Amino acid sequence: MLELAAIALVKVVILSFGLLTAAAYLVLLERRVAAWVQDRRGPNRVGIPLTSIRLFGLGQPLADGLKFIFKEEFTPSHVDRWMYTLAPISILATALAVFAVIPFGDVLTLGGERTIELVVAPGFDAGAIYVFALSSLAVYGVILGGWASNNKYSLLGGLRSSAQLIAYELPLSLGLLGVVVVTGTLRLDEVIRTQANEGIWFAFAQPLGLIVFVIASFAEAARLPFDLPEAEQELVGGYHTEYSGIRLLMYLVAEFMHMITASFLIVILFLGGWHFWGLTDAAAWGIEGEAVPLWLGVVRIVVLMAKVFVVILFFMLTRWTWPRFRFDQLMNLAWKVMLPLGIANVVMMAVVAEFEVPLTDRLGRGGVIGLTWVGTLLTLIVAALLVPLHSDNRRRSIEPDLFGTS
Amino acid sequence: MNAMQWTFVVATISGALALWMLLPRKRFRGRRLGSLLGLVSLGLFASQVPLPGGPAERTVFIVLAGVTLAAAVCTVTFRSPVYCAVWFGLTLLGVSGLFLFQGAQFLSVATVTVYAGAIVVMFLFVLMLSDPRGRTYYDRLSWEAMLSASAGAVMIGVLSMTLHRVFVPEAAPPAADANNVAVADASGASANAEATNVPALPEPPTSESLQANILAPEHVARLGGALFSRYLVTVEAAGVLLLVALVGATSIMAHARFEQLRRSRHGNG
Amino acid sequence: MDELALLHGYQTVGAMLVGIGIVGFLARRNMIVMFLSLEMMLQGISVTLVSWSRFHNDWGGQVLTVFIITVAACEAAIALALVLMLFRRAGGLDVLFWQQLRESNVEPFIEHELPEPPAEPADRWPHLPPAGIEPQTEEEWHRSHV
Repeated sequence: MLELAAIALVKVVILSFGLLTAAAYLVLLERRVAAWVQDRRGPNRVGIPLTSIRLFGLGQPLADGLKFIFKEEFTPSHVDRWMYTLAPISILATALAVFAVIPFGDVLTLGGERTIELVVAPGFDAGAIYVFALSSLAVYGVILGGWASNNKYSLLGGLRSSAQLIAYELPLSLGLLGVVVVTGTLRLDEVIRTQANEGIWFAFAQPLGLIVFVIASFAEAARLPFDLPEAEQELVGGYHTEYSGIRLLMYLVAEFMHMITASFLIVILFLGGWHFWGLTDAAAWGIEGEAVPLWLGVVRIVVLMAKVFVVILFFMLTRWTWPRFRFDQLMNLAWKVMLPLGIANVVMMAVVAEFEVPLTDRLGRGGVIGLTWVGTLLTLIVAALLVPLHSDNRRRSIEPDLFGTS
Repeated sequence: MNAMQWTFVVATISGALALWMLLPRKRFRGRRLGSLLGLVSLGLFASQVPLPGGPAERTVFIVLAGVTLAAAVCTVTFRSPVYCAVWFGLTLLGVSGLFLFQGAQFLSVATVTVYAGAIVVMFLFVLMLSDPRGRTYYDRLSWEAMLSASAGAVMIGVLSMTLHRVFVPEAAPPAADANNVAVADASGASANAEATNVPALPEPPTSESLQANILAPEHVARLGGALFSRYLVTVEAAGVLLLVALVGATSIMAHARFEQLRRSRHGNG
Repeated sequence: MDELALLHGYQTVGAMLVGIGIVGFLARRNMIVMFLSLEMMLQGISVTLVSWSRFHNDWGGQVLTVFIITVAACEAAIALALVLMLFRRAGGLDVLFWQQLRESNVEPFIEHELPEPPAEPADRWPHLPPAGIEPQTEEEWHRSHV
């Protein structure tokens, strides 16, 4: 048992350092991507410190981190001191703790017989729900931060953003549920293995689930087009108006962690995880048997990381391309559009999972997938016909005519 | 009355005193003494429980249970309701850890998701909308503090004593005390006459049978299997209950909104 | 013996949670805190149920805990809607505003003395580093609170 603890500790240490470094460098990447979208250069001057070597601006996160640490850190006199300190701690802790069940690859075979699973907590049977549990805990950081700041704008911003986070938890869970119904397990590494064994990714088999999950992930990570909580033009800064220094850094790092978590989940659940046809199959390289050699394990890790990187680039491109939703449009989208679409997805997947054998006998596997695409198109057409356009700003009558006066 | 019963009496009394001192009162002093007495009481109760397993498991259990109970006491004794809600969140995290320690993985994450992630957030919303600061006079007063603290402490004492008598049967007082007049104290000495009627516990399960059923690796699959085969009617009833609750909560707020609109209409029109 | 000791420990924790919940429900006057104590009692019972489920090697305890979570969610939703309605009527969250619902043979509870008002933090200036200059004002700084 001590060995298990030691292995887990090593994984935790590697993961923590890797994630925090990744968050720092993703900020740099975001600024470069933003600059590229806006047809300018990003930060490319800060290279190796104390020299004039410009290493494509790779020293920028170091400079930013040092700036934050050396900034004057004060606690305003009118805040609720305990909650003011607790809120960013709780949101960062939960954002980091989510990675305990996310697999980073398949297995690493050391020395021929010892296999190390690349999950911090292997065998945890309720893996996917654990992710959602900790995402629900992140709402505390937002509410308490907004309340503790003793500032009307912060309170409103905190309530608004927590309402957004809670509202989009449901479509997120429904998107996940579509995958879970088909695979029959909540463990994320098993989901990847199912996609690898079937040879088809769930993005192609469940397009509606992908749409719902991706949009809900954008909202859960509070990224544009759903980033009303942190829009400076709206609420001065929302729930982190009164924060400065390291506490603000915690909020921002936690937001990037949420984005990384969302990317990992999209890749694992819908984009096949570490699987890529021809590249990661053991059979394609002529390897017999169950044992995965070490280099193949490394190839799988690299494929997973590359996919996550592509999804993160997609997140960043979206941020600098689209305008943001208004709050009522946002909530409308969650409750009136995403939730019915998610339910339709679950129903479709339940039908497919239940009648899998007769359907596959009659239509073949491609036919079943075509059926889900047809179902997706029909659902989207029905939703588009029933939900009015978001740009439709005509006055809608909300008061029913029950009072006799017209 | 032997040492074991005296331990329970002392633990109960100190627990009652601790809770009374920690509850919000008009003249609110003695918080440190109250916390100290609370820890003493907790320690005395815990000393009567033989803890399972090796040192690692014992430490984990003590930490989890200690955090849960300390957070529970803080929930009921803090004066600002937002703090109470946050302490309750910590209690839920402790309870979730206790579930995980038992091997109930799905329940631990379900508790955090539903309770700590949705219900307590709803409580916080209602608090923000109604009374955010928590500095009202009714937050700083309790209602019959001494009686409630004694009631709770006596109940905990009686339950712990009963549990001890059931689980550690060789520590029961000898039956020769049946002729003594019952001493008027809180630890239920009237059970002296029935010291020999404690029912025997069923056989504890073996490790293999546990691994085959409750602690099996495919935990969620088995729980779902039990839910949807043996308890299917209850699941459907719970679904109907959720629907009714949804409709009820919406109708309460909608009714209030109609009232508001009607009042504004007839006021202006 | 291990299983018995585990069961004993968990039963004790569950009993304590229920007891503390009872204290909170009986003693506190804020409706929200009363509901929190109610939920705490339910948690104590859940802990007991899960430990019995493991002891009997049967899923019934965990299934009942799932239903307790469901019922608690429904109850919390309706209860909070009601609490909001009551707050709008009475202007406060005190449960003693609704004393008229008591039984006919119980005396009304009359507030004799109010507690001492909470001490406002009067002079908590932001902490400046040593290089900063302390502000030179004498008048009181009154800051309105949300």
